[in-house]
Amino acid sequence: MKLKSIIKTIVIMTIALAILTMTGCINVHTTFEKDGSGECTVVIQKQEGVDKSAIEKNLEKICSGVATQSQRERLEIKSLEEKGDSFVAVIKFKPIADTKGLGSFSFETGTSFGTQLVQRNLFSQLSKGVIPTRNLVNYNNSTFKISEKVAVNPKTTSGEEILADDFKSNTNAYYTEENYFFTFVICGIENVTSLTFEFPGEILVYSDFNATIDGNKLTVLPQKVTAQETGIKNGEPFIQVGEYSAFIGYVVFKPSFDFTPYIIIGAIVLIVGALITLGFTTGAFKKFFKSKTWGKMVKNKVLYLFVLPGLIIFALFNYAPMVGIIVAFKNYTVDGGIFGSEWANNFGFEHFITLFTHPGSEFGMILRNTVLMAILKFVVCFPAAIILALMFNALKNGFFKKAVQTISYLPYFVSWVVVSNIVYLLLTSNGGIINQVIVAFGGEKIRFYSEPQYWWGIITITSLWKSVGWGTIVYLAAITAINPDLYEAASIDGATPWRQLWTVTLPGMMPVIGIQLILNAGNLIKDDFDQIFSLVGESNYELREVTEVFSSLVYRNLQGGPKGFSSSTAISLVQSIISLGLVVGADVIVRKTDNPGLW
Amino acid sequence: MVKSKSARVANVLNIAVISLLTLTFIIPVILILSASVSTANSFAQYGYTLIPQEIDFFAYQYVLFSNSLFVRALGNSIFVTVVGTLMMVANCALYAFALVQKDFVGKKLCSIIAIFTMLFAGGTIPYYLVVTGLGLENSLWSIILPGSISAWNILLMRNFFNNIPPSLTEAAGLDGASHVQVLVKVVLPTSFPVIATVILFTAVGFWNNWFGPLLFIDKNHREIAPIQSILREVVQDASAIVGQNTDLPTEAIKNATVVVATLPIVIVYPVLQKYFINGVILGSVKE
Repeated sequence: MKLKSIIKTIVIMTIALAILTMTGCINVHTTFEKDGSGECTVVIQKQEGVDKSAIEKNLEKICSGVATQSQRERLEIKSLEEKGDSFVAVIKFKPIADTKGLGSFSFETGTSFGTQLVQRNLFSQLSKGVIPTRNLVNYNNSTFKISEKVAVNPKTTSGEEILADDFKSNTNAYYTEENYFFTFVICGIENVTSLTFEFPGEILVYSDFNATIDGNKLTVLPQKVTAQETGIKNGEPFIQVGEYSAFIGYVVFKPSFDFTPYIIIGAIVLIVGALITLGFTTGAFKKFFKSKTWGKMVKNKVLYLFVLPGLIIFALFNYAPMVGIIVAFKNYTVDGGIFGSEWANNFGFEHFITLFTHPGSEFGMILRNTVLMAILKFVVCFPAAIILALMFNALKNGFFKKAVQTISYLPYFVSWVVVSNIVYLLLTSNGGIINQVIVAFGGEKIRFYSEPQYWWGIITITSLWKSVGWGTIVYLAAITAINPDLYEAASIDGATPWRQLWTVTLPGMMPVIGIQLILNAGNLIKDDFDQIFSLVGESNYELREVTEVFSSLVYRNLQGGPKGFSSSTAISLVQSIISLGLVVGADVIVRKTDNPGLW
Repeated sequence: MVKSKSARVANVLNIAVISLLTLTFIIPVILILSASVSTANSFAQYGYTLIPQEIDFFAYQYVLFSNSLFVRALGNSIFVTVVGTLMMVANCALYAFALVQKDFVGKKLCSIIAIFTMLFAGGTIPYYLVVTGLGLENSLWSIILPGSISAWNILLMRNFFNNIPPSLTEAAGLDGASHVQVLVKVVLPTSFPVIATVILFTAVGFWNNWFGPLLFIDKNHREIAPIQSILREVVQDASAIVGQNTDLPTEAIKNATVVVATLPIVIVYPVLQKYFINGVILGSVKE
């Protein structure tokens, strides 16, 4: 390295050390929850020339340094106050095992710790002074490698020594689901005079190096070790060997019983009990229990059992997911779950805004595909079912009529997967029927599965094929319900059968056609994912510009893992709301034509 | 009625068009049957044909006997369909019966609770989160339970129950019958048409359902996958199921699986045709 940059580095290091020194001695007290998250109280002694804002800046620097290392917001400064001759900062942190930038931690159950070879060897390595520094990255982006041998041995709280090698076997008695293992190696954070960890349970085993225990607290003092620091300062890489403070140790503890839920339940029982007593003393209950309503309820109490299974299933699988809709307004993460994840920006509407305005968003294409496909299907299939019903109606009753009707229902019952197989054997360029015919007539094979433009037709036709026979059922029923006298009257008036069709049959079907229209209106924004996924497959890139619809996006986001859950839910929500609006709108329109609506 | 010449021509045309249409329904079936008994050689040479060029029942032997995955999947499908359909009929009949009773306090509320589920849904992802949150992933119950009730079927049954002559139910009530007895002895026996309809629709729905397994059953748990799931994988990428062994006639196996997976439905639906037609009418045409 050039002399100039060496001097520059030394000068900067000295100033930095001086600033840190100015903050005086620091005591850190950390309290853990069962999941490894917790709160850290940092007591910083006042020093000359260092005010609250300087400390605040330092703390924020640490928090953001950790955020870049851990790839998530892990530390949050809850408060910073002056108290007497020191400053007290309270910092909240998420599960510490995932927090990089302060040291190397593991916080897991005994069984989990015991199943990992690396973890099992940890204790025996530490007892021989071999310190694993694989993930020792600082919030400053420097990496530390401790070159000194520091022996750390396990001890029980009654003072016995345990053989560190005992922990190498995965059948060790401590590797149970009730015990928790916490290990830490911290290096390069200077001026901390003591580090106290408080656990939600009694300590069973601890590291005997520079450590004392007091009930469920472990206090560790720093050790000066020789270490090598590698990092980048002012754009220049540097390596430095020097003396640094290090905290090394581990604890095995057993969480104590959590009374909180029982206390809450107890409180609720007390309150409800008080209310009931109040009810009795004021006679309010007497009045209700004498009423007719209560009489009816008692007499028919078995009916409540009748609806119970249905209500439970509706609650679980229909209404509970509705609560989950708030995921669309949050940034869902697996840690936070539905209720713990943070709210999205822009009052929660971030995902919706991104959906509509983001340049890379394919919302336009998806909307076009979904709606266009729905319109095509509607324009083709809706009249087709009516026409076919009229054609069936014109057949003479007999075996032929019954047979063709029965056969026409077959496509409806067969699954889209089977249909996709049929489409495949028609369209494949490996000996598909259509291509065979084309080649026989002297044409060239068409690679249907790579050419998106054919798929408007393919999807519409397969929809037609699958639904037309079934669709005739409703219309045939409506036709047979028409009063035959109307036909007689019309033919007496000289109407041809063709004319009768227009003056008697179709008007008589109008109510049913109206309802079918309403039921289908909501589908204008919905897509038949069953169809698309089966016909096109999970990942056919060439056909995307035609076949990518709302549900494809939702499915893709689901497959992509939790980070896509929020935007995917937002998409579903948009779709559901538009669909509901369409159904209501169609109902209004149909009612205006004097036909019965849906409700 | 004397038919005019143009009427006769129209009639012939009608029959011709319908026949053509019916052919489009039948030909794919023949193609699949033919493909399921063709050898790999004939595919390479002739592609798909109406009449198999070289016949070999190997595919059926493979699907039914050699690779236990298929038969197990069939068993899974049967389990899901039978249990699911029974639960659906039971749940919906009970719920609908309660909705029909005059003295059921809370009838309107229960009605709304059911109908609202037809209008609005939470979406795929919240649904996925709930089902996995209940610990149902990689279990057939993730398919059975959510599908064990349907507001549509409840309404269907309710409309039917409402049309049962009140004299029947009143007579039973005068005899001192409880709700359960009225349901079991009077209502259910006379409701055979609507129950048959619900059974058919529900069974077909369960049998053909592949999306549920896609969401909740992963590739490591194929032994509990239903047949449509296996079918979908076979159709989309046969090597996932039969392995990379290229000696096997994958096309024939694909089509044999289709036949095996669809045969039950094809046999059942014509038998119950009368009932499901009634059911569709009941559901869509307002009295």
